[in-house]
Amino acid sequence: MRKTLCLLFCITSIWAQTTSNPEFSVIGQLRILNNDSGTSLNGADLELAVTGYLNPYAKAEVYLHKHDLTSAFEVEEAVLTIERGLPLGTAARIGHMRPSLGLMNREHAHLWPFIEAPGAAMEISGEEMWSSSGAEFSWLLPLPWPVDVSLGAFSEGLEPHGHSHEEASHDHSEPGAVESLVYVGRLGHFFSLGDATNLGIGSSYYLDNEEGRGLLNLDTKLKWKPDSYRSMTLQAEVFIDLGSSEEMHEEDHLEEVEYSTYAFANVQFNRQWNLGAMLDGVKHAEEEIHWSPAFFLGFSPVEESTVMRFVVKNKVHEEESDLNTLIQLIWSLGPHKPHSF
Amino acid sequence: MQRAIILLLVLISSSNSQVKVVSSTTDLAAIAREIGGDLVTVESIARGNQDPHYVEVLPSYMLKVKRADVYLKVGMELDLWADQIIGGSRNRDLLIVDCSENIRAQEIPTGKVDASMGDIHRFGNPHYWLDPENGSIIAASIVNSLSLKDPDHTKQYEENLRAFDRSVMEALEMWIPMYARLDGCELLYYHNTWPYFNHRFGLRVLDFVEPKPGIMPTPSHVDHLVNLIQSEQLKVLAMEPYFSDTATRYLTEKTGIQVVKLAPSVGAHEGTDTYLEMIEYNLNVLLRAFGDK
Repeated sequence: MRKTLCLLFCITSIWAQTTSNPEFSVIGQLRILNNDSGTSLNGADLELAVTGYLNPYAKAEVYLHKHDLTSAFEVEEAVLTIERGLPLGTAARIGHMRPSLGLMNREHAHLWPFIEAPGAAMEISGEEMWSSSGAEFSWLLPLPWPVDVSLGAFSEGLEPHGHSHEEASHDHSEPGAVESLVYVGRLGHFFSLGDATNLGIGSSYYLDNEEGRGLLNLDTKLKWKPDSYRSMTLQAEVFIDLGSSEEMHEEDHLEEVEYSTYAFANVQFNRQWNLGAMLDGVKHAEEEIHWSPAFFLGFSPVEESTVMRFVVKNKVHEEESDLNTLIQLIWSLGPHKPHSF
Repeated sequence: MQRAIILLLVLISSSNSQVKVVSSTTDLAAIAREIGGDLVTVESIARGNQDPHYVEVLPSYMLKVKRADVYLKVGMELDLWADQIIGGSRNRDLLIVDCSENIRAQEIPTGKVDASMGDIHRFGNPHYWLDPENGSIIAASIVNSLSLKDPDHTKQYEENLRAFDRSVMEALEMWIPMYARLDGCELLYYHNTWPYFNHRFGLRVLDFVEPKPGIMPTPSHVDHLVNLIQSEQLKVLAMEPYFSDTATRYLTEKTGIQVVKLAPSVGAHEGTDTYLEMIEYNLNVLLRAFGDK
């Protein structure tokens, strides 16, 4: 990782001698968590972003993430995006990225109105969401309403059923070895329902041929934003595991997620305050679905450069519940970006 | 039947021959309409009553730009969101025009620029279209881009430019004496949108409701404004239609200052459908507000 940072420094130093500097942003956060295990405080969660256009047609984005004092910086994304210039109106993302599997997987955590990803998404994509090396191509279809189609092939798939991240990483014979590819496709529809109201509906499919695993994701997002001071967002996703052909141990089978789903509503009632609620549920094999409700409150004193969030969530797992209270302070240093729908 | 097919083909070919222009704001769109006439179709991304600093990037905008020949940007870091829309359009034949290119920018910061100064623009204040003379400069940039995409009609675009320039000059010749009473008038603004307008018509701004550009008013800054209004006996506070009037209502209650809503862009209010109508609307609103000074 030190080599990566040195290389990044050298590249950016050379860049800095030209007039076309990339943009640097650092997003830091202080997080306080209280639950049955006690209270913890982490003030060293950092995301470093270096982004910029390479030429009029392509841009590069590098996101490095450090979780706490003891962990090293990890490459969350290092991706080249060719936006224009390819034939047939094709856009391409190549490198290490978050694939277009549903809505939550593409968004970085500081854009969420809550603190942690919904359990429904974490069960599928992991705590930090799923990122992988590969290529993804997308097209904006020339229909009366915007329809976006994307297809991607990636080297590392989602964690197999019943395996932890650590176990999964030891499955590879050597780091970076490609045993088989996994494929992700997404079809997204977008409808403008008026000057201030927009609706997105999407479906994604994940295919891991080696494991014979298929995963279907359905998502929807309705947003009403009449001005800079008020907005309301309703968002929901469902992940349906279409099963694996691989023979599993009985204990692995019991940990298999049949489906998971979340829905949240977030209301920004003036420029600085937002309030919302979320319900997320996970259905494991041979178990009832466990629903975890959460409430969140956010305060942005000055634009999005400083955000305070407060979340109360009752995490339910295997009929045991654990009341989690989280407080988060996010600060961002660097250019603030426009937020896409 | 044959006649109907021919008519349909003529209609299709005539609609295809129009240059499709998409602009970031309604002001650029209005000028492009005057220059392009029937030879162009023009759409704007931001609405006239919308804050052009913050526009949500929607896939429907990308689809508009995908079908466009020319994109008109405000530039000077006002419409940073336009890059995401242009990128998302995947339109490799798009001609992107930065309309600020030949503008003499005001308020270019000297020294180090950082976020402690608020939402400051490194290349100067980007609300340059509010000086009608800059409208002519924007129009010239639009003519160049339309001529590149549609060289067969260059003469027509140049003729339209001359007509537009004439109308701007005539309007200014009429407005300068007509609104001479505004020259030297002191007022407060909500946001620093109006330096080019002030420069042209002689208005003097004493402070802003925002303590720094883009930063919401704080209680201490509002108290400072109350003192300033009372000590300078200010009568008028002008604001854009998209800002919250919580702070300005308080200032009116405390000091009696009159709050007027200006049109920072074409279409912001009724009666501001063209570029020159928008400028004249603002002059009329201010003239009424100041009355006999």
